[in-house]
Amino acid sequence: MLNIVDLHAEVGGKPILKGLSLSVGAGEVHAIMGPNGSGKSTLANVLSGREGYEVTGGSIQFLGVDMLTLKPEERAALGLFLAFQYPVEIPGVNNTYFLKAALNAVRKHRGEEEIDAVDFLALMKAKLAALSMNELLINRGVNEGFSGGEKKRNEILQMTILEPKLCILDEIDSGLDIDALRYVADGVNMQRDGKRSMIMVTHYQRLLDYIVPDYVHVLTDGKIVHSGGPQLAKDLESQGYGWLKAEEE
Amino acid sequence: MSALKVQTEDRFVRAFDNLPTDSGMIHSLRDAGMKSFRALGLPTPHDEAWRYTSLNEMTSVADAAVIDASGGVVALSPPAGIRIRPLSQVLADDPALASLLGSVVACDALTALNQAFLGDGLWIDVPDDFSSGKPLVLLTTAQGNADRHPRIMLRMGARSFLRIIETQSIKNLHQGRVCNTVFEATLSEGAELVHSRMQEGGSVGSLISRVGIRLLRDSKYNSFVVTLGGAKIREDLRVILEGKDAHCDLHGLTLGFSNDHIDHHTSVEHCVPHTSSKQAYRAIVGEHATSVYNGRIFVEHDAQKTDAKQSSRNLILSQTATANSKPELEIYADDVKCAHGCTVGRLDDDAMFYLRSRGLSSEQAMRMLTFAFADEVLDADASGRVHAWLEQRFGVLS
Ligand SMILES: Nc1ncnc2c1ncn2[C@@H]1O[C@H](COP(=O)(O)OP(=O)(O)OP(=O)(O)O)[C@@H](O)[C@H]1O
Ligand SMILES: [Mg+2]
Repeated sequence: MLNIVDLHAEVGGKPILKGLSLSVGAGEVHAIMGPNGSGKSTLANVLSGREGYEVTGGSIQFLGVDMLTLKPEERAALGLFLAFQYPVEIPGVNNTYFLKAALNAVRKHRGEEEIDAVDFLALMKAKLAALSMNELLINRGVNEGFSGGEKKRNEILQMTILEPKLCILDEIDSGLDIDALRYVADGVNMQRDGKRSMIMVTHYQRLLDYIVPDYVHVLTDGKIVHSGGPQLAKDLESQGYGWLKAEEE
Repeated sequence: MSALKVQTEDRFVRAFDNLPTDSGMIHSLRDAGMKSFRALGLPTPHDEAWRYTSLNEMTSVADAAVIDASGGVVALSPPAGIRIRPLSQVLADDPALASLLGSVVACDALTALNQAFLGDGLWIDVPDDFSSGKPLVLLTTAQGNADRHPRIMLRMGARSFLRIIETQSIKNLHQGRVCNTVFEATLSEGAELVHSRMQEGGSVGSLISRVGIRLLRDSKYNSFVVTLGGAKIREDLRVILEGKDAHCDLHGLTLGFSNDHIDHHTSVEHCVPHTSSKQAYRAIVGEHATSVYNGRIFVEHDAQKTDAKQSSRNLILSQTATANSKPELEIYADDVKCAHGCTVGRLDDDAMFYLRSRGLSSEQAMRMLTFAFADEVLDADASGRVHAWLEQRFGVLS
């Protein structure tokens, strides 16, 4: 599904990713943990093709395609989805309208027919209910005036509607209350169909209790320094990152 | 420069001499108009109010203007109860009414030019207490190789209510030709006018629009002007708040692309205590377009308790587009609330990336964000028509 080899990337002339390699197979869930500023969100942005993130070395293959030459919308059309750590508010762009346009853009790329307004509303209603999301929210501007938790839920709503092949969830658990965490985790788990892959960036073991990953990686200073199974997250929770450094030396 | 200017004025003078001779009030009004046009001369970029907008387009042809004296404006199925007559007839019947013409709009060379070519404009009387759910639709079009000088005079009786939906289109006007409209209205006590104007120009030709509104006690004026492109569009909107508790709400939306040049000047004049005004103008410019907003607020010495608000927001979509925005405050009273703000910005990168990361092309994303910017002011469209009109031009917005 995704193959990252020796990736180097800079932001504003500053090297952030320094030889990162990661391979994600179909249906796998990978958790990425690591200290603040280690480059987790940078990786997510580079994968999505954000301007200003310059790849200076290495390669990214997604479904056998070289991703580095693709625009953000082309990557999305191929089936990549990024749930943002800080979703932006876009007043004046209606949530429903935006989502329908996004879904149709992606469907068009897949060679499917456009969805009509009635079917779309039905789909949206079902997804909203599954996430226990307030229906009124989707009539507002995109994320406009949403609380932190509502924004995160809106990311998951978009994900469940767009049905991507690979989801990158950047701290989807931050700012969620206990119930919301459960709904979001349920939403994500529903998306685990054995084919869809996930990369989850998180600081907390708690999320991984709900969404059990296949692999856990530790990203430090722009590189993956350690990988393991779910137990690794538990060890990190109790011991911090210090022992990994000691081990390296 | 000055040779050109003389030449342009010359073409109007020659056209004037070619007018069929008329007698009576129209004739003397035209004479007076031409006299003052010649005395004033067309404005140049040296005039502060015309700094950004040159009338050179009007100098690009030298042959005498063909004048289309039909008046150039028609009223479509007006609501029953209001009286619409040809201007010439009203003046023939009651020459004394001539003194009302030009009493509200700013008197400059272009207003004078309009008067010099006064044709069969519209004189509209709305009786006291009139109200109708049906709007009055006015259509101004200018096309071909002819100048037009439409003129509208509106008098609204006490407590009357009227909606006007006006379309001004000069899309097929030839190079160097001008559509030079003047609209004047007086609103008696408690009257309310909702006035939507949809303006559209072409790649050549000029649209000059003068609107003058006099507000008496408790009257209300709600204006919404949308300008969709045009090589040269200039509107001067003047509102005189002359009676206590008079209020005006002025909204503007400019959309300029290619080489469009769109200039909106407003002058809101608070002449007595306890009046209020609000102005919200938005401009979106892309490609090589230029927009201008100059918002004047004038508060007379004894116009205490004036509440005047003004906001101008501008969105620039390309490196080669320009938005000029300038408040002009002249406040001579001391107990006044006056708030004004102006922003000029570009599309938000974070929002662009967010939309694109969901699969929308950069064109789609740009369009969505552009209309989101316009949305705030579109909400204020009391006629409900502007949105539909924009959708007609650009497809579904949201
Ligand atoms: N636009 C930018 N210009 C300069 N430096 C940047 C920019 N964006 C990110 N960085 C730097 O890159 C480094 C990695 O940032 P990144 O956001 O990827 O960290 P992170 O691992 O996601 O951290 P956190 O856990 O706090 O979310 C940080 O030192 C950050 O300051
Ligand atoms: Mg981060």
